[in-house]
Amino acid sequence: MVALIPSLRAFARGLCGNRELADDLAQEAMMRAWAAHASFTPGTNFRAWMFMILRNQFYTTMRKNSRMTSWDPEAAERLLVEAPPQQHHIHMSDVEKALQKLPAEQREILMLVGAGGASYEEAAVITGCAIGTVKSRLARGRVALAALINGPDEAVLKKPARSKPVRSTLPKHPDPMPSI
Amino acid sequence: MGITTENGQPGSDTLPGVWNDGGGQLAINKGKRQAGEAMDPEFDSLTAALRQMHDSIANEPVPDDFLDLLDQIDAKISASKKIS
Repeated sequence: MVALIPSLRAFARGLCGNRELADDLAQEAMMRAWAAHASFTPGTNFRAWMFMILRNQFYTTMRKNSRMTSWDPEAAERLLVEAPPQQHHIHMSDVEKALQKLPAEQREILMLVGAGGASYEEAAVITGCAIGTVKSRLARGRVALAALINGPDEAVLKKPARSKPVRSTLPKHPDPMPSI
Repeated sequence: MGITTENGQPGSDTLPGVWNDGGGQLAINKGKRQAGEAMDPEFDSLTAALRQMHDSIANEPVPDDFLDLLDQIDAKISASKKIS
């Protein structure tokens, strides 16, 4: 579990866009994982299992506290219309801000696959959706993120060149359960 | 950056001053390339930016309260082992 803390923190930060909330989420997920460790099937992907718990924690907290997410479909719509000034370099703060304007379903896939380097299969396990859904959310998320960062003119960034990452050929649950 | 003559008249004597025009448009695909140390030529700037964001968070030192939490969990594990 120790080895997963950095990526859990990063995923949580991408989901909620706030350092303190993200760390709370990650710690909550670790406690829940401990409480639920009997439900983990040895030999399956422990990393995916932890991410799934974190993700559930995020959505539970988000439902309880609607202020936690800045997601507002109308606001996002306006932002897509009002193009930010043309920029030629991508700044980290822009990426973080833009991520928070995307629908959570796209944001989580961008964080898992785009940022975290998870395979489509792993992202599908974590989010509980089909691989095709992962791919389409990734594609839509990329276009929306590029539009928010660069303005609509640059929205058609080239698609991910490796449509099938090498990682995706790995077995579905490659990680043995690390000792907690 | 490659030298392009698309803005100049081929063979024009103004060429040396011309090829830089519009060069800003190229930057979008070369920004943040340094994020992927194994320079994959297909690696695109958006993924690179996302990776860099992820890595900058993941590379932060783990806050103490995480380590405290791990200690608590370790204590629970050893407690449960004693029972069984």
